Formats: sequence, structure tokens, C-alpha cells
Amino acid sequence: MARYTDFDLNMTRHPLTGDVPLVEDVVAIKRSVKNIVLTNYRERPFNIPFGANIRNQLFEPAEPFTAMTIRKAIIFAIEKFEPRVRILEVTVSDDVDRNEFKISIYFSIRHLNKDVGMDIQLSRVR
Amino acid sequence: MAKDYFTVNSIDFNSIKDSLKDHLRQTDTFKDYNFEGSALSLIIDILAYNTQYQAFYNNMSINEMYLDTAVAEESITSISKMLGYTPSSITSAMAEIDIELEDNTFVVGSYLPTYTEFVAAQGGLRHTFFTTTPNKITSSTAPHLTGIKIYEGTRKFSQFLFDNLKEGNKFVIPEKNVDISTIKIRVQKGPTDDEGYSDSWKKSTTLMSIGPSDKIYFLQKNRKGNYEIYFGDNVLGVKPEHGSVVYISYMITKGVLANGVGSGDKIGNRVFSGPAGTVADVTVTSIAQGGSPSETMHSVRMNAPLTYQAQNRAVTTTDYKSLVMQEFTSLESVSVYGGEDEDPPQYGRVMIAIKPFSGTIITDATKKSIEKMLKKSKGVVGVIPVVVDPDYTYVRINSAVRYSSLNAGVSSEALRILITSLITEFLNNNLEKFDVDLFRSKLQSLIDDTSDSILGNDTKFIMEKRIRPNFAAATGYSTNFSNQIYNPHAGHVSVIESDPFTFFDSTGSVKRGKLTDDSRGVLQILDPEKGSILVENAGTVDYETGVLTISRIILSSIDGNKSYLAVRATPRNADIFAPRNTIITYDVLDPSSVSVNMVDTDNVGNILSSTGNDYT
Repeated sequence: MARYTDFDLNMTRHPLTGDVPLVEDVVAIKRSVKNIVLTNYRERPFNIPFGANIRNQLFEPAEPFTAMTIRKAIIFAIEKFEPRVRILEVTVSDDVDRNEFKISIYFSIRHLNKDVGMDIQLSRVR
Repeated sequence: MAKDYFTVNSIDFNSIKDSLKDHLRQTDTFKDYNFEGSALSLIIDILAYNTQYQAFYNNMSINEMYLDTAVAEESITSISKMLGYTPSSITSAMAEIDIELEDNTFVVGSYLPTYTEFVAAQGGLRHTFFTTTPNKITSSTAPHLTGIKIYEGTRKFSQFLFDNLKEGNKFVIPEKNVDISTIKIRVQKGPTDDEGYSDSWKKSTTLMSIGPSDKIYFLQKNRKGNYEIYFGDNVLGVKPEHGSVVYISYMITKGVLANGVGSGDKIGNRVFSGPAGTVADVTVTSIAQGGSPSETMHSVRMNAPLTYQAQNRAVTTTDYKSLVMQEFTSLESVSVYGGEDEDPPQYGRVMIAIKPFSGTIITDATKKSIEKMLKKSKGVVGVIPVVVDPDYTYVRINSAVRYSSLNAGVSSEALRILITSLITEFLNNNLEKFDVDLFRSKLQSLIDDTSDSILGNDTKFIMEKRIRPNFAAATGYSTNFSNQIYNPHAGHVSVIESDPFTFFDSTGSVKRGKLTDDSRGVLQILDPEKGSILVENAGTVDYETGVLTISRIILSSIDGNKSYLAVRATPRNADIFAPRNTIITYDVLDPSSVSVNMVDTDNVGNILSSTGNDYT
């Protein structure tokens, strides 16, 4: 039986039951980490400092200092808001040609004894 | 087992969120409710936010539905409308003048027309005043017109087309600072309708005895705070014909800003000037008074239910109060009590004490108008309304404040100034109204809360009455403190003291003395310097009732060239009460009215030398 269960924020319907599908354990935690990284301050009601607040960094020069700031913000936010994981490594690299930052996060899930990696691209939408 | 209900004990966001989590804790399907990054947590946040938003909205909506809790002006106005109450508007100040006309410009028996303009400049502001009725010229010698009433304001006009097809037909007066007592309405069917041109429609204040042929209009305040006018339906009042033109004239005013205009008027330096070529000289006989602001929402909240209860008749004391406040808007505070409470009792009378917005008493003309209004159509047969002036009791405050200089962080003087300003602010906000008592504990708490360094305070009140002496003849005086006077036993020290004054003694020579009591109910006049008794029996004092009676005496002058004789007494109780027509106040211009003495407890010498107001 799954230790962690959440629902899929994409809200796609289950083909058989028609219900919102569940995500479990590793997937649930990866989604949670992604939510934390992509949430800005003041987005959540009555919880101003929730999130990594990195979106405003996209308007900074694409250079190593900005990448370093983003990395520190991500580590701080995950350690603060996701107690189920232990961070192994976070890398942030700028892709000047595509106007985006590539983020790779490696972490270990405490109660499942699993090491997991995930990539996130940060890019301007307009 | 999952709880099948949510506890609703708060509309706080976090409490709602905790309730939702409590519920999810009982289920197996979703387990990530406790992790802030989860999608479930996001949904819980949105649900809790939505619930709180709805709860807050409902709370505010329901609050605005009741007069007691409504805050928005439009809500209070709307609810008062249901109670048949129209909030009072701003009112114009009125002055009385005598007019001398230019030679050969008038005929005795002719009229000075309505809306003759008079201009006055005072305090850097230019004020325009108008007559509101035609005034007949009765004398061929100056002054040609006397006692002419002029009202401050600016004339305005609006006109509307009455359209039968439009539902409601309410005509909104665009200005907010309109004096509604100056509204005049004419309804003309067409250019040749002479009757419509000359006939003025009357404001309806009651539905009693209104018929289908009465030319009346109704007035109410709309949600935006503007006054609006509407007409009858051919059952209650005439309904204007389709296509008629409604002419509305009114005055907008500066209200209280024009009070006092005319105070510097003298020969060679006239304040008012009339139309050039017509008016030669304007003498002020009564300076502008009665300008008042529009009714506050706090006042509407209080008066609307009272007026509804009164049902346009005066039976109980609150009926009298609400009717007077509604009809005469320049009054700040009204107190009503039965004549049986007077000393001596006046059975069959109801006493109405009134304090105006400007000045301390109202004019005799206004008193008569109020009595007439109450007698004519509102009062009960056999009960005579009598308007009386307020009886002012001045208070002096002495406070010994003990504090620790080591914890104060500021100087003793800074702390003293702060406490003094807090006390005066408290007095300004709370006194000068009828039925408002002064409680010592309130002031003591205020002083104690000023700073953590304050350990306590010993605050005492002294009452002061001001007697207007007659310097021309021997006169007896009486004043009533309306509070018991401190007198624990015969032989106690004196607790009555007046300002020093000069008077004619029994031999006719002028002496200087001051009033005091012998602690046995007899007033004496002492030499202020030597303390020797000049007059053994100068009157009486009743320590139980607070009544002080001074025997006939010819006063010559009061120290400081004052126009009044101040007599002070120590109250028996810690608090001072304001029964009947008494108003407690303090002298803003006298810095010794509020005396604060700082006692530093970190300085042993101060503790030993400091005393409160102890009497033996």
C-alpha cells in the first residue's frame, strides 16, 4: 500500500473510472517538489513565504550569479517545505540559446529509501 | 472512522484549513494533506480561502442589514429610510441685521425682495448671505428695515422633466452640501401655466391629512448621500402631469464655517455690505449662528429608532429629544427631563435643556420656536414644554503621578506633558454633552497606561461654578453644583473657595475678599492675604445637595478683570455626575485646569515630600 497519495494536479480523467487519478509515493513527492520550486512568494493564500520564488530571477541576466541565486533558493525552499526528502544535488545551468535555465534536482526520499532525479526548465513565456 | 461533520467555530483561514485536514486525516484515500508542496495542500488552501471569503462576505452583508452594526453610509441611510427618518442636512448660519437704504431708492410699504444678497468677509473667507423672504420697508427713517434674517449660502437651481413613462421619477439634487430647509419647488405644466409658476409645493413630513389635491413633495436621502425629491400618486398628494417641468431652487452652504460672521461689526467698520446703490449701511444685531454640519452616521444610528418610536408625537422624554433633534439641526446635544425633577419641582412641565453647536446657549427666538413646535402639534395636552439653558459645571483636575525615573526612558517633564495632553484629549472627546458623567477610574486607568514606568496615580477633581455678577446693584446669587460636597464633619477644613474679588461692605467701603465656608454650612468672606474674616455670614452651602446661596452683595470687580466669579468646591464622591441640564466641561484656555505633578519614586526625598490631595 502506498505510503504517500496525492491527486494529479493535471486533472486528467481516469479512462475507466472517470475520476481524478491518484499519484503515489515517488511521483507524488516529485510533483510536490516541482510545486515548491515553481511557486512564487504570495501565491498561496495566507502563506506568503511559501515557494522558491525563483520566477522573478528570469528577468535577471542569464549568468552564473543568477544561476547560483536560483540554486540557493531551491535548496532553501525544499529543505523548508518538503520534509520527506533529503537533497543530494541541485544544478542550475543557463541555456542562452533557448533563453532558459535548466534545473536538475537529485534527492533521496527518506522513508522509501529511493534516490530520485528530476529536471525542470525555466523559461519566459512571453 | 471519518468524521461526517466539520467543526465550525471560527472563520479564520487557519482554523478552516485545520478542520479540512482533520477530516482528511480520517480517510485513507489522500495522505499528503500535511505537506505544503502537495496538490492536495493547494486544494485545501483554495477551499479554506473560499470558505473564509464567503464567511467574511456574509458577515459583512448581515452587519450592513441592521442599524446597530451597519458601517457604510449607504446602508445606514437605507435602513433609516425604512424607519421614515430623513437624516438632517447641513444647515446655514443665520444672522440678523438692520438695514439703512440709500436715499430716494425706496418707497415705504414696498418690499426688499427675496434673495437680496449681502456679502461678508471674515477669517480670510468670503461669505454670501441672502434674505429668504420679502421684507417690507416700514420706516422712512434709518434703519429702514430692522431684524432682517439673512442666511449664509449660495443659490442653486435645477430643473427636470416629469416623465410619466419613467418609473419612480425621483429627482436628485446634485450637491451634497444642500440645506434642505431652503428647498423650494415649483411644477409648471407649460410656459403659460401661471399657477404652476407661482405655487410653491410643500414638503410632506407626515401622511396624516394628506389628500389627492395637496401639492406636496417627499424628500429622502439616496444611497449615494444625495437628497432626492419625489411626488405623490394622486392619492397621497398630486402627481405632476406628464411633460411638466419641475423647478428646484435651494442653497448650498458652508455650515459651521459661517458661524460668528458679524462679530467684529462696528460703526466705520461694517462686516456686511448689501447691493450697491440700494443698501447704504448694514448693522449686525445678531451675529451669524446656527450653521451646523450634516448629521453624522452615529447620530442617524441613534436618532432614527427614537424618531420611529416617537411616531411624530411627544409623550416620553426620548420623544421630545428625538423630535427636537430632528426639527432643529443646529443643536449638538439635548437633555429632557420632567419638571418634577427640578429643584423646586415644576409639575406639569417638561424641561428641555439644549446645547447648540456654536456658543453655549441658544437664542430666545430659537427657544420660542422649539416650544411652539412642541405645543402646536406634537405634545400632550396639559404638559408645557420649557426650554432651558445648560448649566455648566467646570472641572479642574489635579493628579499626582508616581513613576520610576529609572524605567521611564524620558524626562519627567516629557512624561508630564504627555499625560496632560492625554487627559485633555480625553476631556475633549468625552465631555460637553448632557448625561455624561466624569468617572475618576477612567482617567486613572488612562494615566496608568501612558507608560510602563508609571506605578500609580492619585487623581482628584475640583468642581467650579461661574456666577455672572451684577456690578450695579446688591444682588443675591445661587448656584448648584448638583453633586454632594465633601464635608466629613463639622470643623473640617474649608472646601469652598472663590476667586478673590472686591466688594462694598456694610459701611460702604471697598474691600477685597474671597468666599469660603466654615464647614458648618455658612459662607464667609475672608481677606485673601491675612485670612481674617471680613463677613461672618455671606450665605449658605448645602453639602448634601450642592446648592450654594450667596446673600445680597454689591460686587465691585473680580480679580483678573473677569466677567464671572468662579467658586470651587471639592466633591464628596470620586466621580462627578451631570444630572438634568448639567454639562460637565473644562476651561480649555486655563492651563491650570489640568494639573499633573510627577513624583519620582526612585528619589526617596520625593516620596517623603509628596502628598496627594489629602484633607484632615
